[in-house]
Amino acid sequence: MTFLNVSLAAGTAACLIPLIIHLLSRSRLKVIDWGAMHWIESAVETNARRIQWHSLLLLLVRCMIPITLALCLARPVLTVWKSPGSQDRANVVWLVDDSYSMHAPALVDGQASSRTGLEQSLTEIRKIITGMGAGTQHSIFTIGAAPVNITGGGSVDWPAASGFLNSIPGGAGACRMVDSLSAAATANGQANQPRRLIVLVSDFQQSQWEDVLDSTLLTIGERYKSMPIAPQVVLLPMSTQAAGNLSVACMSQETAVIGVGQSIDITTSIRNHSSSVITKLPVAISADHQELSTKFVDIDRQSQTQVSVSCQFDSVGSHVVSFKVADAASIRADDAAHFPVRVVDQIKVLVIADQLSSPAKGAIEEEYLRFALAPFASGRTAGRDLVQVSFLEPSSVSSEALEPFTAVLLGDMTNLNPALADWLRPYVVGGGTLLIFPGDQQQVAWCNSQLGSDNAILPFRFGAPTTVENKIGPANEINLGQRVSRQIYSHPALGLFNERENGDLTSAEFFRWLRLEPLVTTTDSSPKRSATGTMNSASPPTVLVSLDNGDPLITERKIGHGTVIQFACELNDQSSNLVSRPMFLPLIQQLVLVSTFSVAEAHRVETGQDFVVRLSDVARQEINSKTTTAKKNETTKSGRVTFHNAVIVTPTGLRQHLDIIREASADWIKYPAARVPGVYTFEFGSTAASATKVEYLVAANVPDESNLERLPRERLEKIAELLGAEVVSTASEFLQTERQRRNGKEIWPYLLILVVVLLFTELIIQQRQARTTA
Amino acid sequence: MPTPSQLLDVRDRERVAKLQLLAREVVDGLTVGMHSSPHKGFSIEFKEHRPYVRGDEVRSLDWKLYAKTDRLYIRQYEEETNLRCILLVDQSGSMAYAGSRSAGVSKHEFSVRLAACLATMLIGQQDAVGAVTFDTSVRRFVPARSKPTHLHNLLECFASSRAGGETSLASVLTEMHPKLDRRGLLVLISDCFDDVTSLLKTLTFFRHARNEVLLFQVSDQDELDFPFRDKTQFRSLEQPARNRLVDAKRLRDDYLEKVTAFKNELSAGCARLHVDLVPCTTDQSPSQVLSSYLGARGRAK
Repeated sequence: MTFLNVSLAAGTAACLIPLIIHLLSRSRLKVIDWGAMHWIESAVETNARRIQWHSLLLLLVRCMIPITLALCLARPVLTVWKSPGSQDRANVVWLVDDSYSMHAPALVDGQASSRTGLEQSLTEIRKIITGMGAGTQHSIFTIGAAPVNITGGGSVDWPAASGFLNSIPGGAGACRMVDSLSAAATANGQANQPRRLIVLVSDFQQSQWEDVLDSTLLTIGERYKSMPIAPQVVLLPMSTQAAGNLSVACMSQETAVIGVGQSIDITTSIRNHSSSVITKLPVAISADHQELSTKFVDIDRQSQTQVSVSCQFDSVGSHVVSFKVADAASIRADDAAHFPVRVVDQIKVLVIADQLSSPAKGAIEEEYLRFALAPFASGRTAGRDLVQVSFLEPSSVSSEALEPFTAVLLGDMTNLNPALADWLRPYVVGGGTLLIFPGDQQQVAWCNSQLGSDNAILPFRFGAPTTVENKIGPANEINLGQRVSRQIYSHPALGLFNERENGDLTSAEFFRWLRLEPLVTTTDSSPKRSATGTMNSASPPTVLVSLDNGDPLITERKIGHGTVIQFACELNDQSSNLVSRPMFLPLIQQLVLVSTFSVAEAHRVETGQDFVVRLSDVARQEINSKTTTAKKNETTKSGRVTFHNAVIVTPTGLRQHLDIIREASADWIKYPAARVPGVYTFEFGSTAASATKVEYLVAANVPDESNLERLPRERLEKIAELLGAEVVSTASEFLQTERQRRNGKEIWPYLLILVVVLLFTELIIQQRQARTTA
Repeated sequence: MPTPSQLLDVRDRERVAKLQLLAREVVDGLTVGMHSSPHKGFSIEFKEHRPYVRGDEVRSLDWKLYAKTDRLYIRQYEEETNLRCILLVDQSGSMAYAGSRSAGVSKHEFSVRLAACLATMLIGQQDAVGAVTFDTSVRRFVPARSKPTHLHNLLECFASSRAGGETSLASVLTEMHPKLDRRGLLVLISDCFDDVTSLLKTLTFFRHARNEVLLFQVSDQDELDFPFRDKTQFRSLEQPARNRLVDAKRLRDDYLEKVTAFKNELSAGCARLHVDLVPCTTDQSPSQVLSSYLGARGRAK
């Protein structure tokens, strides 16, 4: 404890005054020679303790009054709350929740105000920043969708910080709290100031925190504590009105790819978070922003309903289907759900197989694949296939020959081309899809050696063949062979088969297959990283379908932008009856289409994730025609160039130029961390003013973000405890706490109250004694 | 200390001369006086008639009644004797207290004057009077005599007494018990600052011996209402080493409670033993106290 007016503390010596008075009064005694001493002594026995207690208490109170008054005037400051180094300059990392749930009306004194929660939180932050004054550096992160440092990656002083706060529009997707807290730790670690603070300003929705484990929070808290300068963590919850809200979310998570004239069913889920029943809610459905229809639905309280629509498109390209409800009373960001649909004309698939050397076998395989990929053309029937199939012998393949094709299927090959592996690898990394079917021993050995060794792209090595002998058993019983194990398929290409009416994978029987064994990685078997960065990485292999005995049947590995799908079974009727089953056709088509469109590109993402778009040929022509020679040279050197004729328009109307990344003979656009949910329009054309070509990209909101229920106070305190944080309610409380940290706490008001209390106590004791003696 | 002649002023002497002390109970006396005797005999005070029985003296027959009723009755008389009184005067240290409202008269002085009044009155009606002064033990003993010249001895005994020493009433009365071989009146003049239980126990012996006991409890008014207000150091008159510093104002209630308890205990004990308790304070006149008591006693009889 320290004093601001130390000299006045000497006034505590005034406590001697009552003592002196007491002693003086003792010295002026009256002495009486008394006869009835036994009565005096008898009375004193019962009275003495009470008298002594009263006297001592009165003396104590009288001594305390001048002491307390002197201490009060000396303005004592309790330094218990003072933090080490609290006088030093501070760096504050602000984690500002700008998710769209913060657009709910703020609660001020328990009443809903006209300001949103975000506006209220920004006001509070400005008060704090102003209150902390100059000398404090601020790093401001918006944590909606993904943590982003809006102060340019560094920190700024308070006038600049206030300016950055004005640039937060809000309406971002759901927060990733763990990422945000980790980002704050990183930013704090890079600060130069000797004192660090992390302030999390959020509405603390229950949905934001229910997936965050206590162990994770504890780990983050430990990380904070173990930092060279441990930051002080403050949680500033903003009260927003948790009234009823309507939210719309698409059921499907993948981009739909259909052909021209094909129809697609799109289902959306509408949830009523309020406690009242909603009747005849109009749901407006539109395609490419043109209204299609309006449906009316009834939704019970705290429940959801579904709305479906069937669409078909006549033009090739990107389309978007939107569902929108009228919910003017609450948050608007979740009142619409969008679903991108990609309508393709035809995709080109190349089958590399040896047709001539083994006519019978090759012809059969070719027919099966041709039938599966292009059923209309194979059946000589009317209709337009999505896939255009071409066949090449291995000897005819070249690097340039692969480029036009979006997928390559390796069938049975005898005339092996040694350079084929060198061409396939960059093809896959660049976004191509490669399906590998085992052939004879020579081809299997080639695959293992060329595709499964150095820079392997093969998911697994082909092992020894396994055969189920005799299709007909001794008692004329049919030997059924091995079947596919029944399971729920999580892969988007196989999700179709989770419903029996779309085909049953378990109906196929397998009599001969190759065991798939893990790759022997004597050296780094992953493809080398390209010069352009991270897009060239390889993921671990996954088993998509396995047999009843546990042997993998179909496996997958993502390499760069592309995908390699490996079959363990040959495509002929000797090895299995798969090719004769009805689901063979959708199986092969789904594997080719979904792998081609869903893996390489990301047209529909959750907020906070990156859009990845592969430029179409049209767009490539535009870039080639409009980019200057200097830019082309720059592109060649760095693989990156600004595409001035194309912009991406965010849901808030912001237009941003994008960089083109050339990699593995393809051009890519990557839009980092789509923050705001909604439709992002990628426009390019001859002039910026009259963009003609459009790609629709959709950032979907997380449905839970629309649930405005707040975290219970107990849980909030638990989180604070795990993080080693403290919870403050307002900017004033924060600044008061901050002042206490810096200077300690002035306690003179409490001492003044104590003086008054002591005076009253003295009065009461005296009154009591007077009553006693009266 | 006053001389014997100073003990009674003119007014006291006049008032005492008019007083007559009548003992409530019969006492044995050596001389015929104004007090009734239990012995039936030849006195002129008729008591009662009773039927004649064989063996009765013939001379005690009431012939006049025989003539009227034709039956034999014996005539009985009360014998009148003189009173044998012992005055016990407390001269312990506590009796030296003289309060602010007693005009400088200490309890001891008041007691001596009261005793002188009694002695003068009793000698004047030809009763035998003795005196005892005591503190923890008997300091002086004057046997009972009825001669008028004996009054001087008594007054001289009172005048020479000095207050001092502690109080031990019970032991003094126990010591005096064998010396009072005949029934009579025992007058105890004291502040009774002793253990009440043992005092009453000792008085019980006297009452069993058919003595009449009269107790003058002498107090100073200060002792009864404790008028002190400030912090005061009280020093014992009996043991000067004993002193107590108290806040008189705060102690008063407890003190008065003790006094009341003492008075209640003493009066209850005296009533039980049929002892006349006469509380008196030093701001009163001894003759006034005496006349009030005797008046009340006469009315009671």
